[in-house]
Amino acid sequence: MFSNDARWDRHLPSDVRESDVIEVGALFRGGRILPCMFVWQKRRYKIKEITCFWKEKNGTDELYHFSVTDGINLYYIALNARYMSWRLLKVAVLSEEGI
Amino acid sequence: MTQIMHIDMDAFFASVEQRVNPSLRGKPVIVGGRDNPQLSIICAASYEAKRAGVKNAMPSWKAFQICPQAVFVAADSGKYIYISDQIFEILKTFSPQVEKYSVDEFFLDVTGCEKEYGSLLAMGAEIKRVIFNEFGLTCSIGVAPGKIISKLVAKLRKPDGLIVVDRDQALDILRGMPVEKLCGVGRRLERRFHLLGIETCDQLAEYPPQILKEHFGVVGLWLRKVCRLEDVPFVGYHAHQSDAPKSVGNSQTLKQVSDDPQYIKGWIYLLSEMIAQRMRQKGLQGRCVTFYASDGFHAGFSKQKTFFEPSYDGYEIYKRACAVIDLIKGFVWSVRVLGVSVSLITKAENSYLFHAQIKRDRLLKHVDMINHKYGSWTVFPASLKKAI
Repeated sequence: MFSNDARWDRHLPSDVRESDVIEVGALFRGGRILPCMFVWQKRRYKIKEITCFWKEKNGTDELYHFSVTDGINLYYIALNARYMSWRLLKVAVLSEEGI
Repeated sequence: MTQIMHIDMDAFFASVEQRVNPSLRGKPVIVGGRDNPQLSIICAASYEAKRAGVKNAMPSWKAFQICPQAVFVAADSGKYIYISDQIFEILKTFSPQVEKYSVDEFFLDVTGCEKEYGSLLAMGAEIKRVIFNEFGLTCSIGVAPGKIISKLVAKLRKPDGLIVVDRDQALDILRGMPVEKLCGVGRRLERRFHLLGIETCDQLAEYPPQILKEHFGVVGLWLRKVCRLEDVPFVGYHAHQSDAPKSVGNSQTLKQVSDDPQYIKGWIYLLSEMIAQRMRQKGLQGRCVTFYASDGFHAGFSKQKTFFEPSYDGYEIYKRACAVIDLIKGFVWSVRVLGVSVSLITKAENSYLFHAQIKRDRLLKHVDMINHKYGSWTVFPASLKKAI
């Protein structure tokens, strides 16, 4: 069976930086978390679309991943449910090909 | 009559990436390894890329040659596993008999379900609708009186297809169907079937079972049964969750062909550690170690050896893999793809006699505890850092 543990580089801290802690405004509706906006480097970004959601475990930490767009860029944000903290993991320009 | 539904997600990894990044939708997308887009192996291609001739398991440089406009995305298995698990949960609401065959394939026993949905076609359409609404992903569904046949017919209507066949229609489809289209028939088996003059599934169905048994053993007899629609259409309930694996293995495609034994051994050690960690997590140990290698141009080869003591220690598995390499006469250190696997798996029940073994076992347990709490690879052998 396909196993996430079978990937050696799974938890290399390549895309998480200390400076990428963000503030997020989110709705908790129907058992789901719906991030609506976030503040990154003192700038406010309104989320237009949540394109995907998935959960991952890192040790005992549970991470809720969201890929969201503001219409210009694609952002990967994640909520660490243990520390209740949000991080911005990746940014890509929507028209840019691949990430 | 038993009816089995096979659900195959269309270009699963690539479709998920197209959902994640809206600017990739409608474009040829290829999903591969994380290292170098030019030196990777394609693990999924979107239908736009497939139409241009890109195939799964193709080297990425070849895919870019065929389809220069293709967009490369590094695979992110966490996403795929989570979505696959969610689809599995949805499918359990349709039938109590669900089997997760792989990350993007599922079997459902849908015998009698037509009473609830009106028809199996309506049930299939409803499943497709729910999956699409929830994840924006399409799938192909085949319903037939057997697992292998349902998988075969689902393939006939890819992508986004839905087909329900009864026994007579299934036999019609098998008539003239090349034998290599059957799940379980690889290139080697195909060649051996052709040597016996078996080209199609109906020819296999009519072939004398004694001769098949002589040449192919139980596999030959089972495939004959499949072609006669006599295979046991068992759909294991959560089969993969409950069954102990027969082997635990990992493989890696290196960035380029390497002739450096130290570098290759570093990877063997890393793969061994990964295997060992997974075995310890599941409370398993194994006695047989298999090593596989290929230079990426020629067919690979594998060699295995069974050892007296079972193990779940990464360093021990690494030493055993090296011992297996020593058994290969004229082994050339020119490797692009390598793999290690451990089989003859048993439950880990060790009681050590010597102090060194007890100490080592205690160390492994503590490493596992730290990695369990803080995430995989928080603590790992220092020599791995040097090697990779």
